[in-house]
Amino acid sequence: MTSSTSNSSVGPEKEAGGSDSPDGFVNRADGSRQARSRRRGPLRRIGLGLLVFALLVTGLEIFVFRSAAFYAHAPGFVGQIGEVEATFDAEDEAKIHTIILGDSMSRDGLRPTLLAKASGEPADAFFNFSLSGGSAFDMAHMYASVEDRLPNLQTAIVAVQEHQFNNDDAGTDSKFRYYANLQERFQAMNAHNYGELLMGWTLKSYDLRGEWRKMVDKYGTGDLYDRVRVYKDEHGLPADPTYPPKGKTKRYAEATAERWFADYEPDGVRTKAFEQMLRKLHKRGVRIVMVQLPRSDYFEQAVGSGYAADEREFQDLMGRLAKRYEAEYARIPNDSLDFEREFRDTNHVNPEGAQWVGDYVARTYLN
Amino acid sequence: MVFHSPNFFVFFLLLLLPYFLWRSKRNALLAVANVIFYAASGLGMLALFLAVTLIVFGCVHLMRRPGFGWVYQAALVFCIVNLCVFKYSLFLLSSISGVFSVHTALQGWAAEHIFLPVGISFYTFHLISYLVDVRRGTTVPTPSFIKFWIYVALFPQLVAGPIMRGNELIPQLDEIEKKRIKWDEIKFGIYLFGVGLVKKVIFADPLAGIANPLFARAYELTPVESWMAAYTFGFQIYFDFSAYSDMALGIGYILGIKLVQNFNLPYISGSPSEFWKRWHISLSRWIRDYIYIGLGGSRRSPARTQFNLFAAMMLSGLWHGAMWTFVIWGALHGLLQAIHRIMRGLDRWPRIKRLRQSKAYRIAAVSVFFHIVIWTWVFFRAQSFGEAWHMTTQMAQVNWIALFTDSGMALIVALYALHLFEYVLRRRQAEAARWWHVVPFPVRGLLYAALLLVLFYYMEGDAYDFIYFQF
Repeated sequence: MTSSTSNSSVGPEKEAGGSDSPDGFVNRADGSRQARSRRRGPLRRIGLGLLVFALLVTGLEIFVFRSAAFYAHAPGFVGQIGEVEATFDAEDEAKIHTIILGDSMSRDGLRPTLLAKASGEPADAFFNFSLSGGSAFDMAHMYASVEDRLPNLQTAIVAVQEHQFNNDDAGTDSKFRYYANLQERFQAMNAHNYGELLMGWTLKSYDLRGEWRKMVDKYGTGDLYDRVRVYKDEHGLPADPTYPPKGKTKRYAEATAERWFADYEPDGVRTKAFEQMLRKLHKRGVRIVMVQLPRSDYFEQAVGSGYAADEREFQDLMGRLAKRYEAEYARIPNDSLDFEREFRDTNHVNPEGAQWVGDYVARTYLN
Repeated sequence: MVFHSPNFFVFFLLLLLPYFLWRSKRNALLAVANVIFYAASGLGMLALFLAVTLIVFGCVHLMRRPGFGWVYQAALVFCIVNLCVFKYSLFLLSSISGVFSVHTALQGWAAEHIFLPVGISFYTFHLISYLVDVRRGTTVPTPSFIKFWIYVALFPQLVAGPIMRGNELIPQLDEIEKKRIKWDEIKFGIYLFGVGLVKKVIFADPLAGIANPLFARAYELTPVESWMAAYTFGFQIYFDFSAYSDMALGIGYILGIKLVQNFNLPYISGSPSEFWKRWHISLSRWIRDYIYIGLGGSRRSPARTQFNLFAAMMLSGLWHGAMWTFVIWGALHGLLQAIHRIMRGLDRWPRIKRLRQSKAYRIAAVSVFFHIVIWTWVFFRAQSFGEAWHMTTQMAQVNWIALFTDSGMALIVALYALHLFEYVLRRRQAEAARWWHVVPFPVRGLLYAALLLVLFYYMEGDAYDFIYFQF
């Protein structure tokens, strides 16, 4: 530092980095190119590289990132939709007269093969569209995607659970992001997520980055499937055979209930979509059977002790909707099920439990 | 609302449309955009910010009237008190209670009720800078509150700088409604924004994933791990903060406003004085002009000059955060500045001067000073002095061969190489642009698309943050 106060060593003597300017970056770099570009018209000026970029991104969006079949190579929440669609494509659609819509509980508990056996119908008369984590919104969109391909549909068994109608933060669900149109995104929008939802609507590659990121990682470890799996004999996704660690404990039940009822909000985009589905089913004369599948006592206690008011609100909503669309609604009791023998965790039945549930549903609703 | 969040993209796109279509209303649009941008942090904070800005604007005009000179001091005190109440009151109270071993009720109340308004440190610096410049006669106060508000609250620089001066920004605002923003400026802005995005998403955030777990177990780190933690944090904070500055500059170019550069490859510095001309340049400049020179600069005795340097850097440390670790970090840099100043006196011997001008000396100086800076980051990042001291003692005991042969060193070398690459790219920006256009356009398009996907790949979750937002 010199004796001058302005020539201090604390800061720059003059603004550093004068090279940081568009003059240095563009004009001087290719001034003649710029001049040529101007003569060549606006596309050249914007840049052909950017044009190719725009075309590539558009192509990727249409053929890759908006296709469920792409995600089905490493089934996650969105990938399972691709598997269900591929399995449905392999069915003789005209034979299907009963469909099942719901979440992982109905995927495990309402097995088409068991329902067929119990009701005396052929197995290919049933198809289970249930998705893991399937919300009311997912059910509605899954049905909307196949409704025109089910000419002989007579009965829709709709498995309902409280979590499917929790509209708080519906916009974070990747299945919602896969299905939702702009209008539905507006319904799920708030001050925090408007950017995510709007940008995601424009670019699915951004919206579903969590899904394909996992696929890239799986590709790295060689765990990606070569082709989309089709479960023709299952008539839907197969039941989950896993038993979660500590899945039969009170704590597990409480944690699940906490997740289901977090900031419980039964009004919103999920419920609206569900009601629209009921309206369509009712309009085409399909018999609607809404069932709440049995859960363990641990789970019922967790709900009763922590979320009684929310639970009442949910039951009132189901009752109202059932009445409005002339649906049957019932809660299947758990008193005939043995928790240790027939559940794989506090709210999912195992194959033995599914046998009982299948018999019950067939006996009560299908005969 | 941070620049790489989708909320910001939507906000910015919504601003750009009328901004380009409605040229004569650009200042009004910017003023409203600043309000919306800041309101995202909370309406209470916005009310405070607007009130403080309005009061200082009034003071700026009042203090120039005869007999109202005292308003200048009052306004300065007001700005400093506002900053201290919101940023330092809890720190002061806990320090007092630590010294006297008493826990006051006020401390509990402050912890519960006092919040840190977003960007308060930066907007306070803008306000003080304006007051002092008007007082010194280097800035003519604008009669327009809208322009003053834009100067203090301009959203690209509001939360983490760069810290501008009134006479740098307000003349640009005077012209902005007549200015035709060129496509080249927009392209350059997008380029700078893209560079910032890459730095933040592809480098800073993944580095946080390495540095954070290491600092979380600071007391258990081995000497090599301590160095690795310091290295990774050193690069993380550089990528994070310079990314924000690059994005701010890029947004500025798109809006037709030139902001000052804040970073210029700091890790190639060979001395403390060079480092502060390359790291957070606008802050160093502010500290120099308003604290160091305010204290007398180098016009007094050598001892006083050293004290001024030390005090200015210590205050800079305190500005970064209300924790003793930041004060120590600032003090260390003050000490380094003072030592360097003494060492520069050795230049009077021609042989030493010649040696210092050699390439070998430069390489050695950069290598040594880089490691010193990396060590000082430990005080900046650690949660307590105890943690920082423990890591320091570990770092002092390191076996340098073990350190340089550690597997993690490959990453550090790669990061430094990247830093050097940025240095070359910045210096040869024009040539790089020319070469880039030699690449066939389909390949360019493909590379842009690949880069976009890589960015999306690294954008995890819905949470976004920058380190410097806490200051």
